[in-house]
Amino acid sequence: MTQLLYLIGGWLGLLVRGAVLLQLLLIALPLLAYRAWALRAKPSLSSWHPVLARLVVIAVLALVALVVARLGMPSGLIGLAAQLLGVWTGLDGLRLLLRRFQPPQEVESYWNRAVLPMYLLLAVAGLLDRVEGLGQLGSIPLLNLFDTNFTLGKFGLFITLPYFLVVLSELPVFLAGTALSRLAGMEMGNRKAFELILRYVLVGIGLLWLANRIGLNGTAIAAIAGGLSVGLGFGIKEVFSNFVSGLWLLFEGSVRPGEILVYEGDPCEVRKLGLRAATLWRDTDNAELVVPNQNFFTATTTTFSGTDTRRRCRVLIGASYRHDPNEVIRVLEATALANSRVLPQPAPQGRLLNYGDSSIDYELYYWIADPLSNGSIASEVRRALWHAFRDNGIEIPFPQRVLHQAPPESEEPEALG
Amino acid sequence: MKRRFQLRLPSAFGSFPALLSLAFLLGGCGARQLRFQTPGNLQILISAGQGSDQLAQASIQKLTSSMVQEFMRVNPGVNLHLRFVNEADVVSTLREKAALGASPDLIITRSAAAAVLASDGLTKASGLEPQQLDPLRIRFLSRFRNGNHFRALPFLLQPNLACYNRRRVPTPPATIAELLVRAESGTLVGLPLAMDELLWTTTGFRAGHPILELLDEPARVEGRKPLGSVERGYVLAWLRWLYRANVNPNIQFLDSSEELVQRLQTRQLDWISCNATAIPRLKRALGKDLAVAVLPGVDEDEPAEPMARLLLISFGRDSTPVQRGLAERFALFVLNDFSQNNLMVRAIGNLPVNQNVIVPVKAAPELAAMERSLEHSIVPNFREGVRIRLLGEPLKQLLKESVYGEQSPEEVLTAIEALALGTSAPQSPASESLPSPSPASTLPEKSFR
Repeated sequence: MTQLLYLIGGWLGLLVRGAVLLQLLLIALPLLAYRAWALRAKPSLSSWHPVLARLVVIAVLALVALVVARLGMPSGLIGLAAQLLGVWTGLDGLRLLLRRFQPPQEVESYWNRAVLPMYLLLAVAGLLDRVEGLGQLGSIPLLNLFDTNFTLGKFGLFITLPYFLVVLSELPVFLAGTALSRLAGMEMGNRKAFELILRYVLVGIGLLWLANRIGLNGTAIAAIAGGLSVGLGFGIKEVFSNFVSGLWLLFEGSVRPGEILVYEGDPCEVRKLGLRAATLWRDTDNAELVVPNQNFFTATTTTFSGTDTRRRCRVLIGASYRHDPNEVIRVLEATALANSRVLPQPAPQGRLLNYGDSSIDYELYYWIADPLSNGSIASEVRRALWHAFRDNGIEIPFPQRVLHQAPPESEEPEALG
Repeated sequence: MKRRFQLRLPSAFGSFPALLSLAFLLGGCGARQLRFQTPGNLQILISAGQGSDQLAQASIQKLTSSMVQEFMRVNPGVNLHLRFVNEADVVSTLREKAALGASPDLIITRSAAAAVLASDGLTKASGLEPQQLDPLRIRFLSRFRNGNHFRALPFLLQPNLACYNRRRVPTPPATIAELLVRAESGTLVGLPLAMDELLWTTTGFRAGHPILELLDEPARVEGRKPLGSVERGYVLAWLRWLYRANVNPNIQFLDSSEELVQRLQTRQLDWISCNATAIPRLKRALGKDLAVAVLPGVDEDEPAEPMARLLLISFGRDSTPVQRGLAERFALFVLNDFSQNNLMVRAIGNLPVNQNVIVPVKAAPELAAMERSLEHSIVPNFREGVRIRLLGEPLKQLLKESVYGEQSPEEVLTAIEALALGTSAPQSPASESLPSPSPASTLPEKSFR
């Protein structure tokens, strides 16, 4: 650590040089001008104006670099700044183009999580390489852990690689999933499972490579694993159990992203199956439920997307005793069929359910394609039935209560006397 | 609904000028501090070898690091920052740094790299006056003089020697003929394929100076004049000798000096040609079995003429006057009697350039052999011994083809001439990374011999 601070202190020796200071000043001026413009104009994320403004800044920097070089002074820093800004502007242009073809939110999300950090990392690494040499910088020892000498380079890898492994693996895995889905006609659920497993594999290989690269001592790893196994027995067994459950569910295919499950009485869509928990989306209140994987592993799961995604729905209704049940059932089935979201096959089916106190009770069965739309379709069918009954003169009776009041008792004769 | 940590584009980009301004302010404060309070920071770049030549690199790293500590002890407040690079990368590294205005204040390299740096304007002549250096009586200093200044200052000498296993070779061969006889009788001999390290074998054939002139003499190189018939005869005789030597199964030609040292360490070889910087490492492995001697020549009165290594101190071109002053103070410090004596004693393999330092030849037989080798050595300067190093890889490839009979000596000599005069591209699988600019550009306008 002392060596690192000492090295950083050494850069002050470069910052006192007139040539370096002049270059920094000449870089800062156009960038500050750009910043001032951006603060005033407040361009939106989808605007091309910042790209154009940055192109102007790059042109100014290139011109300044040329003039400074002509004067026989070092201009490498200005050139480097122009290059870095050029690369960033190019990337920003690409982002704006991608927004036209992909959902902007997804583009921005991936951009901010992956591209921008990666760019900043590479830019800083490039600058440090020019100034100090990454090899030299990376070999600075920081600490000794488990008989492994942790250098600055290893430490840098250790803190950055896992993040970029997780974030950057997203895109290639998605592309591989899309390609496979098109080539092999893979279903959405299978595709999501494939993508997730591929991502785990990539991240796992990356972490193993990292462990090997930083030279983690095998004995130390064994000791950590030993400690973990004790920890598994006590504190983190739930975490481990959830992780194993998640992997098992993926292979089993019962809870995969895209599946429709009934959870706590409500149909939900599986959005994500993570290492510890699954994320479900409930459409009734647009809530996301984070459910530990172990719950699905140990409890019964009702799914609407196991072998097929059709759902059988039921509506109850009553009609007066004076109507012919055959006629009522015909109206029920015809009304259901008239709804475009009700599947024609299997055909809707009306049944006489019971002779009730004030009505004959019927039930209507019909099939729908989207299990999550049950509530709205049922409402449509019920409304249509009201109109159909009215048009066919069928009465929907309801229990009536007649109250009879007893006549008041005659007044007692007044006492004689 | 979901909240993630995200970098915001405008803010990240917007902070860039702010950071630059901070750097500018820091620099300004640093400058003020440097001027009024502390002497400041000094960047030193060291390149003493390359690739396989790790021995010299390691040796010089250790020595200069200790020198730096001592200099900082006597100059509190001064911070010296060392950076080590391979000889192959030194020119490109300096070019990159000079483009940024961040070239080091002081550079320690071998003479070939120093010559390229000087001719490319990447280093500046020393501001030290001859009268400041006179008391130090520096060997070979005059070769680098340019008017009242010096384009570089000699720092350390590392001569080439014969290193051998005393158990297997009780007395060293005195002549090259004797070396062959010993090899025929079972002594395992290792020779390098690098031209500058193998040059000592040309002594008996008078081929050394023709080769050096072919590579370095400006009139010959610029006039594209190949060797004369007599000189060709000398070189051809030497190339034929190399081929015949390789026919002997006990003589091995190896690609790198590192490999030779490793094989002597593991007793796979009995006698090798090595640089003095390998002595400490060989001593650790072989103990008292290690012995060193001058390389065998024509006869006892005419020893071999090897090419010694000379490390030079050059000065960066972007330093502030304060930094330049500090760099010159450091240069004077490492050249003074105390430091040069320490450099010689702390790691055997380096001879001082300061003639006030007495080399204890009686106490240390290794130093005696080094001193004797140096008496007959060719010490490179900015005019001689530059391109033999810059063209090291293609020349090595041609020598390899010669000793393995891939090409006849005549073909190899023609190829060497073409390479030296720049009339054909070298057919090398891996050309060395040190640039090989046009002959004229590597050589300074004036001779400093």
